Amino acid sequence: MTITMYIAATVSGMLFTLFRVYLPGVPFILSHWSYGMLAPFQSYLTYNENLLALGRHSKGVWEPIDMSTYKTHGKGEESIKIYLPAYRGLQEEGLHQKYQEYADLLRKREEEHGRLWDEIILEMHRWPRSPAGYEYLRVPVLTEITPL
Amino acid sequence: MITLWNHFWVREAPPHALALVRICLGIFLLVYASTYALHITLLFSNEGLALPLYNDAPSPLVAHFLFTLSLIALLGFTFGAYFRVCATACFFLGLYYWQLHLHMFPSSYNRILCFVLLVFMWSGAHKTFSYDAKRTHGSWTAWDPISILPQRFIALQISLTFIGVSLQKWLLPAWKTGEILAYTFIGRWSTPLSNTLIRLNLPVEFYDGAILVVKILQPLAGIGVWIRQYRLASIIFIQSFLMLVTVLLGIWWFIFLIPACILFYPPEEVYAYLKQKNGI
Repeated sequence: MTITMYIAATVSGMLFTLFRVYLPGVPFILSHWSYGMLAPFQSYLTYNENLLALGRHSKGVWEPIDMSTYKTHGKGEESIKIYLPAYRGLQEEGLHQKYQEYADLLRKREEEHGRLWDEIILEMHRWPRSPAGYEYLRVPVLTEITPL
Repeated sequence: MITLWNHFWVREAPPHALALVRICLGIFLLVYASTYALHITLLFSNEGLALPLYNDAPSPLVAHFLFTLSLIALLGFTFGAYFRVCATACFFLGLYYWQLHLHMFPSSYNRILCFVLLVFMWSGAHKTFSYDAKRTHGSWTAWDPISILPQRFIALQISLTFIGVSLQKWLLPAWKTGEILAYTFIGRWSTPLSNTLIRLNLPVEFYDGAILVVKILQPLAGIGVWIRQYRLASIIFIQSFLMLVTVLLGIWWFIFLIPACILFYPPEEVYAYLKQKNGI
């Protein structure tokens, strides 16, 4: 039984790998988990992206928040987390709501550090990659900003 | 045919190869867990930035308690102490952390780790080189035979991962040329070594060639590990590939697969080798 289940899940995962179809009758979670163990990078980007948080003072001035306090791991891992991958399948509104939840949590954490903001907004900044360095081309004229 | 099937999947075998993998995996998981140790409140509690999938994040006190419990379970796993309880705890705590935070980083290695922990729960990997062996038989090196099935599952999964990944590389448009490698070396996964390599300004044919070599050798290695005369070469390729992924891309989490390659050898041969070398 265990062997059959493993083989069925693996065949299903492999079918999805090759033809983007799952084996009928195999539970989605098993097929998808198996596929997830067989998947390389699906594509690559020619640009870098970073999540920027801006806080609004009581006087109405917007200021970038220092996010380094909240980055716990390396650049690669952190740059995946900013996309909230598990929530990418939601509609645009749902994803926006999750980013809003994140901003609310961030405001509370900032408050605990004595930094009070009336409002926090999140932006995704995108700039071209360069052999000269990760941030080398992160200049205003080349940086595209998307509000989240 | 049935005899061959049973011989491959369910024969009884010495537990030494699996026990060695248990120890290495346990150490790896302790190191992996330690990277989170200073950020428990921020990542795993309701006073941090957690966006859990299902259950709400707990208070910092509970989060610290659960993390301590995880470390104890991992130590028990590594030393083979009350192994079934500890391995089961490791698996379910792993799922808990997935829904709490690891889903933010849904990588193939986290999925493979969960699968491997699931297999270890009922593997009998504590039947030697363990506190449980010492407790029940009076010696760390005493052993009882186990089913080869868990060993087969883990080994097959490693092999299939290499085959599946490489087949996708042949099919996906992004892997047609070496551009993916060059862009990755200057992106979020870059490391000092990949930065140095990219600054050599090597022609794009170098990257095309590297991708082609990987696309050819990866599936061959995935199959070769099962053929006696190609096994060692295949394992050397797999291990070199994983080391390169570590140093050039900073993706170090796959290195737990390096010691697991011992599972491609028949467990009887591993036991005979250890017996000859160390008198076990």
